[in-house]
Amino acid sequence: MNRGIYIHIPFCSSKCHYCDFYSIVTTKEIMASYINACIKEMQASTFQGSLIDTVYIGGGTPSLLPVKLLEKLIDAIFSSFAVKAQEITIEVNPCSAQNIAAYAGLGINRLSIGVQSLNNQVLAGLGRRHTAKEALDVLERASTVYKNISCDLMLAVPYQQEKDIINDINILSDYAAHISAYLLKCEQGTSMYAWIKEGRYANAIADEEQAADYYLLAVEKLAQKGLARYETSNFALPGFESKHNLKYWQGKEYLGIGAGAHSYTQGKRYCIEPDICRYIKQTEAGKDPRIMLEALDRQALIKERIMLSLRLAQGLDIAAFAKDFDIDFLSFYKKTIEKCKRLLQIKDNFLALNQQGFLLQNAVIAEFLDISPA
Amino acid sequence: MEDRKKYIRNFCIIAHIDHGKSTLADRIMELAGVVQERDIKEQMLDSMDIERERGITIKLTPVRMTYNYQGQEYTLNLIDTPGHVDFTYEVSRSLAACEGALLVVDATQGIEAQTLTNVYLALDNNLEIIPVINKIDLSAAEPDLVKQEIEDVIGLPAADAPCVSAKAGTNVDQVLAQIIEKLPSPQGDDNAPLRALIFDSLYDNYKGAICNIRVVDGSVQAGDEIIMMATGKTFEVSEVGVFKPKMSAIGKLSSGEVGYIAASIKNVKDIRVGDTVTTVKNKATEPLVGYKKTLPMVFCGIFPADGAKYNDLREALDKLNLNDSSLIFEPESSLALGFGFRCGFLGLLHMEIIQERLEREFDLDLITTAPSVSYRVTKTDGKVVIVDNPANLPEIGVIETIEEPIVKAFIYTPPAYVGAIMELCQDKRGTFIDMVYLDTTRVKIEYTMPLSEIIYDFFDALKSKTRGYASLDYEFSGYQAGDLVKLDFLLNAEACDALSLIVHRERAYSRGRQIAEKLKDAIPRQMFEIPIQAAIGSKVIARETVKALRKDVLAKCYGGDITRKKKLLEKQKEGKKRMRQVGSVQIPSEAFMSILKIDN
Repeated sequence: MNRGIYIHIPFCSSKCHYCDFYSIVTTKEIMASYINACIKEMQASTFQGSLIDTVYIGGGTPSLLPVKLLEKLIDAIFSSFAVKAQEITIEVNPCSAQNIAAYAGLGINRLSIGVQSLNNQVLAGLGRRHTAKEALDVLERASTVYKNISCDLMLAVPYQQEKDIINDINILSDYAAHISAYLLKCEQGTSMYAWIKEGRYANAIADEEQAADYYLLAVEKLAQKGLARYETSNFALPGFESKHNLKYWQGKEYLGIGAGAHSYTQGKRYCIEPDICRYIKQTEAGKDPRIMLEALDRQALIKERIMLSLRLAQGLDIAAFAKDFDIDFLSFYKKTIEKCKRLLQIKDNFLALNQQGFLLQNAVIAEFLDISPA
Repeated sequence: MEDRKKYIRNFCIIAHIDHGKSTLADRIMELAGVVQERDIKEQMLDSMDIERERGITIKLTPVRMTYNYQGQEYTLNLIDTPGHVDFTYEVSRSLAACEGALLVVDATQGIEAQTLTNVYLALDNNLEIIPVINKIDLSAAEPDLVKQEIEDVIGLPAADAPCVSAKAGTNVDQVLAQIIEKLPSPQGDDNAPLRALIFDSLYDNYKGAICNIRVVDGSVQAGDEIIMMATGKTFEVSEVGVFKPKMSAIGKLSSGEVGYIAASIKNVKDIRVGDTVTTVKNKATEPLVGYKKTLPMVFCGIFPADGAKYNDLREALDKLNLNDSSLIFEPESSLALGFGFRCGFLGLLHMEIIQERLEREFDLDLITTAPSVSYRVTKTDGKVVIVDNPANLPEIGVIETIEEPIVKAFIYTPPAYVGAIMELCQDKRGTFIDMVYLDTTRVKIEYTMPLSEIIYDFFDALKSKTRGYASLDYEFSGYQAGDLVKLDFLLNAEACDALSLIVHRERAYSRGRQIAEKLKDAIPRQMFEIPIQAAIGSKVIARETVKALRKDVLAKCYGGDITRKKKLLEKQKEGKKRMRQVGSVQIPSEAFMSILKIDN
């Protein structure tokens, strides 16, 4: 079986206002120690030598890493595992994109660029440290080297208007074969959460109705540009869906390396504490830094299958469900399907959310999760 | 023999909340050499908090004191009264046990409206009242003004009223002097058959239910076989005693004295406040005047928010019942709310206090249904049924007549507010009976009104229209036929029995609209639109709609989010704690409370 591998690079030059991923501002020395620690973890991994077909280097801001360190890291991945990568992605921030051309030489074949918006006021509001022009320059350079580029776009953020969304999609779709479009969700603890609560953006941020409209608008505009929704927030030209991320939604296995990384192997979910010092110490000492979060029993597997499949545009594979769990989905969940029928569609033996259903995704999934599987 | 009674004084203290009743009582007891043991249990403090918040003065235990005045020993019995309007009957029986009352007034506040009810009750019971001006130690004290106010508003001579500081102990001896000088000694016949007035009861874990009594005629001692004249039940006296304030056994209680009887009475309901105790061997021919069987006036359903806590609720009600025999309850069930109890109370305030005590003292999350009254329904086949749960109203087709309980309402008010009050009563379907000027400052207005009108905001309206100066008393006065209908509420076209009401047709439209609106605000938006309808039979009289949710939070879900998100979504259906499933609609318990509580 082919697993994916995710490496977390928890370094940023500043914290964006809405972000709740683990990252710190740091020094070259710490970055070097950290990469060494990641390498140590991989070398000691139980999954040494297993088949890997997708690699994802995420963060934080992986593009802050000096190319040499990145090279060291990638070499270690190749030597610790049997990598036949169809996709090796690195996340890039427009502020630290000077080396992107060099990444190709290391085997990287996909860039995920954190554009977020092409409106400078919006960018400032988000705490991003680049301008629209800088982002576009990066995209220009990137497109000369990479065919497989993804951009992040945020929706319903402060100071953004409908025309921004249309404009951004128009421009970005000329460069990117894949766009991740997220409705703003601020977790407690982020600066933006507090500011929104305070009412700082009173009239400058979309309300619930508008946010829903923006999402629908984005779906429509992206579709017009050939980027079909394949997951709630992910859109791509045919063939350019993120193979690594699909593993998450298809319940496939992946290894998570680094402080704050998550793994899913052999039915168990693990995480590593988001603490760089601790991580470095543990891996130095040859200790396994993973903490087991849960061992999935049958019930949990079924619930995850439902929750994750419904995020995909194609939906839940009814035949596969029967094969894997010996449950006739349509009949076992008949009542729930009936209740939510206005939000669902069944096609080719797949049960999926329809357009309205995607907007009320959590409510629908919650209904299914409320039933205890047999 | 007669001399003994000459040296007894039975009195109570009337005071507005925080005017200093407890402090004064403490000082009096100190002067009389009584050691006050303040081992108040947490439970009592809680209920005291609630009572305090409601503006009800804390009830003290009865106390017997001995005081030496001018070389003579006197026995002073301090009896306290419950403080709220729903307990008027209990108050009147406690007053009936006394010959006099101290009226404590805060020298910085003067007379406040709520004091007046009990003052008038005391006057009506022919008690001698001694005004006491308290808190003279404060710089804002105006004792002379307050004395004048007492004379003007109540019509009591107050020139000689002692001015005291209960906190500092100043002049408290003057109070005792006046108690002895001004209050009459108790009357009664030592040699006649025993007649003792039960003015209160309490439950003791060891001795069982205890009667607080005032012996009018004769005497009682351990070993006597007594009979309760109203219920006919007999008991053997195991102990008689007095409160010092702790219960303290004595040999005999005689005419004019106040104390308690313990007779291994298991159920506090066997003790009826106002009843007369006499002996089996030497039975009295006539009971003491004034006994009334208390009837619950207001009903509501009380359900545990978590069905699993049904037993906890039942135990809690049993415990409250021990010291509050006027609370009645019986099991009930509802489609929407599950298993709970139908409870009966003496009035709204009683109901609210019980609800709060259940929540605070017993830590229960409750759902209560609308306060309602019981209706007398005559069916077409001649059968008469009493319906105290709207959901049990028989089908329209088999109803001949519906009658509702009527009360005689007595409103005491300063003359200035008469017009506003009469307007209010008319508005509440009242019928004017009489109006009397008790004196230049007090008018008594009498109306008959449907009880159901009183239980919805009447009291509050009365207070606000009269700036707090009016007071209300009411007594049950039979049933009267009325154009009454059952108002149902449908959510998503399914009837919710917990919300059904019986109302007068005139009121149906406004109530229906009002509750439909409240439901609309209280029900959280859900996946689909929810139509709300108020209906009488099949006729829809009000409509509201809860719009469908437009969108959830649409968050990302990568490897690290899966476990957390799964937990969140699993919890989402269980609800933001305490959602009640009503058909296909989820309603938070708080929503029920807000809809069904008495509205403003």
